[in-house]
Amino acid sequence: MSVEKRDKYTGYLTTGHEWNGITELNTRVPRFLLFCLAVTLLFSLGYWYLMPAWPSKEDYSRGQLGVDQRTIVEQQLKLATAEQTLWSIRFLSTPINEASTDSEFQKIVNHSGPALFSDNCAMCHGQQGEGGPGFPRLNDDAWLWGGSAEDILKTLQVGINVGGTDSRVAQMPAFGASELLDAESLGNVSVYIQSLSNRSIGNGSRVEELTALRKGRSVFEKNCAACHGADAGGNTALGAPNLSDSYSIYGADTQSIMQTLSDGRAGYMPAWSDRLSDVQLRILALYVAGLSKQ
Amino acid sequence: MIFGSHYKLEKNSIALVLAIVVVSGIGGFVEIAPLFTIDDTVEVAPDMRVYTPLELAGRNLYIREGCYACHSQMIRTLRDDVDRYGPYSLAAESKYDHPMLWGSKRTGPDLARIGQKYSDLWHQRHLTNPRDVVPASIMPAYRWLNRNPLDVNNIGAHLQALRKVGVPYTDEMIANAAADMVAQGNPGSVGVQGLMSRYGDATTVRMFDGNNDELTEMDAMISYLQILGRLTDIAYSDSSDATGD
Repeated sequence: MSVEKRDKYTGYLTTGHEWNGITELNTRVPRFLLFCLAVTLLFSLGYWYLMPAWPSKEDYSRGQLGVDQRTIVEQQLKLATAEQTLWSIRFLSTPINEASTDSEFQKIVNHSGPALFSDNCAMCHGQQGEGGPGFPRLNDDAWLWGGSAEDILKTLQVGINVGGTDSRVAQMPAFGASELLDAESLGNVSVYIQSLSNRSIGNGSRVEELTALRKGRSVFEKNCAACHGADAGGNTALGAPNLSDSYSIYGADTQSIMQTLSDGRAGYMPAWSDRLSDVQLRILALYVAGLSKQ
Repeated sequence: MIFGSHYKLEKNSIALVLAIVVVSGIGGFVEIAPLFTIDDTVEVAPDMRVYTPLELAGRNLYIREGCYACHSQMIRTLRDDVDRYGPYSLAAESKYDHPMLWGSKRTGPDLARIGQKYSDLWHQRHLTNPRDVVPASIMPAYRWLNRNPLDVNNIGAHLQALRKVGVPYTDEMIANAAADMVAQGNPGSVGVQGLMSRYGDATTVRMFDGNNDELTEMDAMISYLQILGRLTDIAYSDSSDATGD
């Protein structure tokens, strides 16, 4: 590897390469690096022996330690479920409306509820359950399908308008688009609906407004009251919203109401029973039921 | 000694080239050899279905917009991942992904099982402006998906290309690709029956972007997002069935 020629200043052998009188020294590779090379080589041999490494025709070398990441994660999950059974058996067998007053369960809900909610629900319903246009608010008292933990659990399990036989189904008909009502009736009923939550409408003496209100009321009684109730208080058995309160999912301004009346609405809530466990669903139901009581 | 032979090797160019070929050949072998056993080592998912033309178009848009740069599509075998996203991903689930979009980094959440988790409306609003639904989001807005009409003309060629690399698209699927694409975004239209007969009854036919007008890129993108993790149920079956042979 070197020519037998020694550099007279340093005493090292040279490689024999020389450029304009500058000779290249043939210094040794530092021993430390060779040492590291040897160690890593030994480590890799040990690793091949102990851990899964080489593919074979139909399998792979399993390694002496038998480490398998899939088994590890499955064991961890089993362990977690086993730890849960300390309380989950009682949790699952307690009627959910009673569970909401149990201090032990409340602690579990307070601990796991927020994480489950933000992983699964907050995307649509907001981090605090504040909702948004098209996605119902959960931290108030207005409920489409009922606000008890039991009702919420059912909604979580079956979803709304997801298809299939179990799903909750609710559809606001497209009164305008399918020509069930003419434009004038739609305008009148929208005035009436707004007057339910805004007392200043119809309080004055403007004739057109009072006429619209009167006509709108009769349209409402014939077309809307069947689902939304004669007092427009809604019906949680049908998922028909309360129209007399100050909250609305799709907006309460004239334009939004006209769009709802014209094109109809059918909100979609996914069913969660395939994605979340029974324990998780019950925790979420209790957590969401608790949001409106804060 | 080994260093002595290297000195000789350096001076013999043919020997040096051969030595380089041998050394890089070892690296190549280690990477390529496992591919020869892929039929035996990857799980079998008998219920696996292929992407419909509309979903495939959405997948191409997903690639075009670079979604994979921030979103992975692989749930790792870690408890935290499984707790948050669902069963860990299996190789068979990306069997028809060319190229695969597993991703190597997460700025946003993993999307491997996002399908059917949220509503179409949510996806449409979220892609139009993520801040509308998730105030803390740092994801860019993709408004143009709402405006851009979907290119339906060359989708058949995409199917054909995928068939070349092993995706079992039939001649019928390729011939009807454009029509199937339109049908999937138009419930009640005449093409729906043909679409269902070719791709199975579980095919989702909806107005993905919420309107019945011409197909937009938003339709394709949402249809793709809603099928992620839904092509096969293998990951949800008993774990003992899900490994090997």
